Amino acid sequence: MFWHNFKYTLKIVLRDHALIFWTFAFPLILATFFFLAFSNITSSESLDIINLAVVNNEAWKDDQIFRAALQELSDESSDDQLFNTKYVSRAEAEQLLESDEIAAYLLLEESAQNTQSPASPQIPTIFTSKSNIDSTIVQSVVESIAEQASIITTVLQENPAALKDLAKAEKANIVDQSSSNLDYVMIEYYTLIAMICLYGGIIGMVAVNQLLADMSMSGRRIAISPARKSTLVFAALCASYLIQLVAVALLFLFLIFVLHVDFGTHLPLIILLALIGSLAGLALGVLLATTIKSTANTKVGLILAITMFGCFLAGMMGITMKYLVDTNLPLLNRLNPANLITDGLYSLYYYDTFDRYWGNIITLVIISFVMISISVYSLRKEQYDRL
Amino acid sequence: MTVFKAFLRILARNKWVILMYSAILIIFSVFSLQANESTVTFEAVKPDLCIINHDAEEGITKSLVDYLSANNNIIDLPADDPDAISDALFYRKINYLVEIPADFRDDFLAGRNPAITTRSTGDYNASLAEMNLTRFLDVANQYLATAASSGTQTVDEATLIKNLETTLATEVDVQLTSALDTTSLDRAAFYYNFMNYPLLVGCIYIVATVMLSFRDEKISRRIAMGGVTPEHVNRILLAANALFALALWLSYVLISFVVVGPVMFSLHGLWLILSSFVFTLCATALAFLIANLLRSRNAINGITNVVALGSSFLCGAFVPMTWLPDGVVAAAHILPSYWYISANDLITTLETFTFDSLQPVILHLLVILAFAALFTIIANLLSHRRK
Repeated sequence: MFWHNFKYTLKIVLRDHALIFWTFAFPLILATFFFLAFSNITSSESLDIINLAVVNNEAWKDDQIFRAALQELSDESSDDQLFNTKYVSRAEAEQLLESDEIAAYLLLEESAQNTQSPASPQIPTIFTSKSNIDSTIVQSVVESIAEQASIITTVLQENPAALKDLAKAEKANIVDQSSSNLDYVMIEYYTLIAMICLYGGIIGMVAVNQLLADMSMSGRRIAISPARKSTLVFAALCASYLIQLVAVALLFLFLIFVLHVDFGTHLPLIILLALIGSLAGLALGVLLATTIKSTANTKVGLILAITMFGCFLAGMMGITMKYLVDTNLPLLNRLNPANLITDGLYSLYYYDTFDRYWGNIITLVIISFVMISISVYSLRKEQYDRL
Repeated sequence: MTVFKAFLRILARNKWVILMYSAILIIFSVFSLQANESTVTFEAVKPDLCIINHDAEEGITKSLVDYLSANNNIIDLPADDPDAISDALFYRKINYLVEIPADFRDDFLAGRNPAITTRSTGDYNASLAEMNLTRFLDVANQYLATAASSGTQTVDEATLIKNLETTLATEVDVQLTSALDTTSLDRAAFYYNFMNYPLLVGCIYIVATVMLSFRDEKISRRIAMGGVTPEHVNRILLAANALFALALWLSYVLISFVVVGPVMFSLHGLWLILSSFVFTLCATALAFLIANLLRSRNAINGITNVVALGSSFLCGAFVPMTWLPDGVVAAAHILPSYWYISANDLITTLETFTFDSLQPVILHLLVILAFAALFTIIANLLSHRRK
């Protein structure tokens, strides 16, 4: 009886084209979109060489400090190159700025009254079209060059003999302890895994609907047959779990081998998370199938809505959402299966310790167990006055 | 009238879909457009930074904290919760973490150049924060070097701080050459670019649902028997669908006045409205084409999502086009959404509205109209062949 029902559940589910589209094809399509749209984000956020122009006037030619400093920062052979500098006339600089070819241009002007600063009597002004990060960096660099002039002035005033000691000054001692796994786009792919695990609930629901007397004709026939209902339900659930795992595995293979998504190095733990995440999805589907008395369409709509809302809270439409909920309403995300799956994968990718991962796994197991218990309870000894 | 009533009834049955996607547009616009002060003077970008200070906040340590606080947005995080700090970095709540060691002040003044530990997100803002930190430490070290050479045994901290702060107060004037209120215009562009998604979903979903309902075998037989000609029914359906698309467009435009704000009353706003109108025509034509291609109502949901999400991801409705990989942008040229979104981006960077400056925008709008014509022709050919 078990194998018979197992086989027919597989057939029923696999012939439902819409269901197969949503659980097999849609996540792959979405992953491809994510990949195409997001693959450049992280690199476009890291500091790039900024296009800059300098007005090549007399004041500029006279200023040793600025010329030397900018030449060093624009050196193409250096790893620290920050600017790609053009030396042009004022009119050309304005033209370049207007056509967005440069972030800003620098103009040095002889100052009439600024005589206290013998090292650099020129006053720099930056012209830009936008208040953005590029122009802020230009400002910051030009200020730090101007500071050198200020330092020399101050030292000359207070202790001219110490001028030679400036060269002996230590460099800033900054120890960078940044993690290398900081690519937040990964969260998008993780929510995709969460989504497909929970979408699997629809498969479980379709399978269970076949056995419910109020949902289908076959359910009515089964209800009056002498077959053991528990065997039938168990067979249907095993078959849908199997299909679900195939869908999850397919997505994982696609993400890892085609899109090269980084899941960290703990493969067995990732597989365990996928197994338990899928179980939670299945439990959700069965819970809604057995406790909600409504049409099949409403039930599917409900699973989709719960899954998408869960994924939204887990950061699928913007990772800021996950952080906001994690910090302000932690309980909501601690009970949200989509977030538990996402967070589990995140903790394997970003954290060195496993406490957080196991916390997510245990919560998922408890939630699944509770949902399955409620389903079993409501499935037992069902009676219908009329159908 | 009967046909139109039937159209309204189908629309009413699917109102939740339209409301849901409209809500997404509003939520995302409000969420990601959190009011930045709109200004026409230069505003330096301030990175989000967290300081963990293990030293007493006195002397040079206090100077450092003050300097970082003035040039960054300080975010307070619980210093004793390493997970909270790690999460804040990963989800970009902060760009940079600065950890000042105990005894920083004493070690620094003794010339031991103590290390500052940092963690960064590696993006533009983090680079800027690191520049700020380096600037402070370099200048401080230079004054320390000259102070140490002045012969006295102990460094005069007060003078050092005074000189340091004078130097760091060096300001370079930044002038904005453009009078454009870029902040408000960016908001407008974001809203109108994002509109690509709900507009496509709304048009395709509703038009396809209505057309397929009328193509139902029983219904089309009944229409064939009735007094009105099928052409008449088609004309009314066409008008009803167009009316719906325009109503949807009009409500999104009205919402934009609330969400985006006063900039919508400018010429920029007017052109954005015009460009979205042209795109609405194209979306309706595309919806007709898709409705003609579809055979089963089960497929509507899937195709709607794939087309709308695909166009939105690949053409820069969700992620700015400049962040997309070049190959994706090149491929996106075959989609009308690309021309709509780049028209919007062109409009919001226009400084003057002359025939010359508007030419590229008009060209883009003409391409969208050409797409609309193409879709209509193919849809008509298909529907003729079916008859």
